[in-house]
Amino acid sequence: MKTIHTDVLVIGAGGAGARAAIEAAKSDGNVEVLVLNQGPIGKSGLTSMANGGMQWVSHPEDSPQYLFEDIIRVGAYLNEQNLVERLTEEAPARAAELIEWGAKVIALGASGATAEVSPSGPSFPRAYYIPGVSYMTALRNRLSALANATVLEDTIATRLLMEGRRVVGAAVLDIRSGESFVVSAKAAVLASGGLGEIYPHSTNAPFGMHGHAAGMGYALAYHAGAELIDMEMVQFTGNQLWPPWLLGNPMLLSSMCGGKYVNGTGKEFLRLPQPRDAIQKLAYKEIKEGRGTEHGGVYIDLTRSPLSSVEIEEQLKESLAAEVAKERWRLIKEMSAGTPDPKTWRIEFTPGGAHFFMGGVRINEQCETSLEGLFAAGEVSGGVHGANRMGGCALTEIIVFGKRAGEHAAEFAKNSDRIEPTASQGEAEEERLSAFLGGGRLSPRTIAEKIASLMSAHVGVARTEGDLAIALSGLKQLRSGELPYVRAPQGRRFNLGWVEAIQIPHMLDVAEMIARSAMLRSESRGAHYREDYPDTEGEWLRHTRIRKRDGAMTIDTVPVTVTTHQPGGGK
Amino acid sequence: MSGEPVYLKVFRYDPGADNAPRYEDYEVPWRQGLLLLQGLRYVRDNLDETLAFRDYCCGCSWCMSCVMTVNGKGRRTCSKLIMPGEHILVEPMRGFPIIRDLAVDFGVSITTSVGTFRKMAGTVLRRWNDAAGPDQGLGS
Repeated sequence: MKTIHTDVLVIGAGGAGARAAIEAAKSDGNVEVLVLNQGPIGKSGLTSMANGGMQWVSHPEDSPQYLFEDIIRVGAYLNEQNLVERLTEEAPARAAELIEWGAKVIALGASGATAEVSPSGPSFPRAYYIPGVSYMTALRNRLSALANATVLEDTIATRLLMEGRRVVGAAVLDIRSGESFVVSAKAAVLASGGLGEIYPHSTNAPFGMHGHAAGMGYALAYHAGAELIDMEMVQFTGNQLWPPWLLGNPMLLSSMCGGKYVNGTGKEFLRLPQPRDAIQKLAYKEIKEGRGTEHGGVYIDLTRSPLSSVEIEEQLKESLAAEVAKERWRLIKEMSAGTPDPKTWRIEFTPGGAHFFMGGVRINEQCETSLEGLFAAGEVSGGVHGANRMGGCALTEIIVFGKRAGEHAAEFAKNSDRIEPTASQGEAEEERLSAFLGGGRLSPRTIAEKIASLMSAHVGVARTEGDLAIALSGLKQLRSGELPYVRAPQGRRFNLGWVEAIQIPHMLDVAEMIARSAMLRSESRGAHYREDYPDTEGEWLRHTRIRKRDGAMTIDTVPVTVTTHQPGGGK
Repeated sequence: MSGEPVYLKVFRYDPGADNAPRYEDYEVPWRQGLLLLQGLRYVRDNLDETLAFRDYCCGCSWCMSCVMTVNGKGRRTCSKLIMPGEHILVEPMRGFPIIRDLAVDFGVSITTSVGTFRKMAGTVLRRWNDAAGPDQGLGS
């Protein structure tokens, strides 16, 4: 089997991975960097879909300390405070760098994306807007200028290869050819993004485009022996029901276009500013108590917007179509041809569209995980956002921690000897992958949909012990009764159905981590809402922690890192 | 919501296994707002799981990794709205080597920036569309 040698292996080339690769490749000492990406870099993955909101401190009277306080308040104090300090302190420099590399900053309209910052705390204008498109173009151009970085597009890491607790490389599938190979690396950076795909409705799968965020990275880390924290913390946003155009995040229609949150009886049931988790809970309650709309959701009512038709259209163009192009705007106009005036639109949505994942691989300030030589950054890591992410903080997180991961992985590689993966490790993985092309009878999509509907029905916005137990037993049943019979479509070349089949066991692992962590946390905090434990409890100011021990999933809790800001405990 | 189905005629070719390309016909149920890329996904999920095309794309009209030759013209399939009863010929984007079926190798390495790629693909689109007739395909 082919083996490729590198110093630093970067898994995933969204914002965090690309930034890590840039840092590792430019560090002195001639560090060779190999980057894997599931699709074309900058033209697939979640960063490129980002709408563009970014928070960093620039106002002369603002300070990183104020942003720090906003982030941990929104995060319900479950944030690793040392990580938040690095985020708030380093974000301005990282953003300036990105702009220097060519990313375009777009000015937001007057209503801005600051609505989530609580009015009770210090708040300054700091919501910038760099569309994911432009963000990734800048990173990609920068990366392409570095001779010692190689990017392999259409590749997916399927397993981390270990020597004890030291990462020595990865088994990789080349999607184009369908051949697998081994990467031997001194250090690895996991930057594989989130897991929106394990919910049926997700902003991670726009227009039903699956494959971006199946949660592979969490499972790779878990099976290698890494610790994962706060896996119950899933941030939900609105899932648009009607009309079928304007697909995307319907919340923007409220924050940017002045739409009001109205229930089926015509009553406005919440007013901004509200954190994302509160909007989800309030909308859930309206629907559950029978005040839903015709299609079973609630409205964002643009007929009550204080803005005029023309102003709404301007904001829509800016939020939905700015860099995304005239082509998208043309499509929206085409699709809404029967009712062209946005002032007549009442957008129906349900809560429960998976948007972002706060939990993940436990890291320290150097982005080190609990495994030697393994670093993690971006959505796959946990701890930065606590129990709820403030809007605009993901695009800053990925460059701040991407840079840190690349820097420290390169440093580790320079000071470490290479341990060669054994040939049998790669061959065993090839055998495991090829088995999916054999004789089963169940299509991977069928099982993926079953996982997603279990998660949506029982591990969604509102959770109870009974529901979580149903989810866990359903997942167990899928694992024993269906997983062994998954069969990928035939043919090795460019077989995305095969990739999906490879993802299924990992999706089951990650779904189980979420359900078990949600079961253990017998309180409500941030995005985690337990209907049977509605209060936030001081004693629960702890991370849930998942580890694989003796081949089994184990769960316990660990303390939150507090640096300066002692949380007030329960409410 | 429902109407007459959509009729897709789709180019199929696995250079590693097939002697020659062929075309397959698929009938996809129409719904309001159906886009061609979603129609292809429907085919793969429900009618023929072996159909290969790129779908790790942005889904929102900019990245161009979903470009294909649609009724003889280069188009982003994520922005192609389908009408009930429409007959559509779907072929791989011309000018690039075929990996399998509708998936092509854009030949993009790390030395090619996204901007350059868009220009490159845009040039191919325009060249093809000009040869095929007035450009109605590429909106931007």
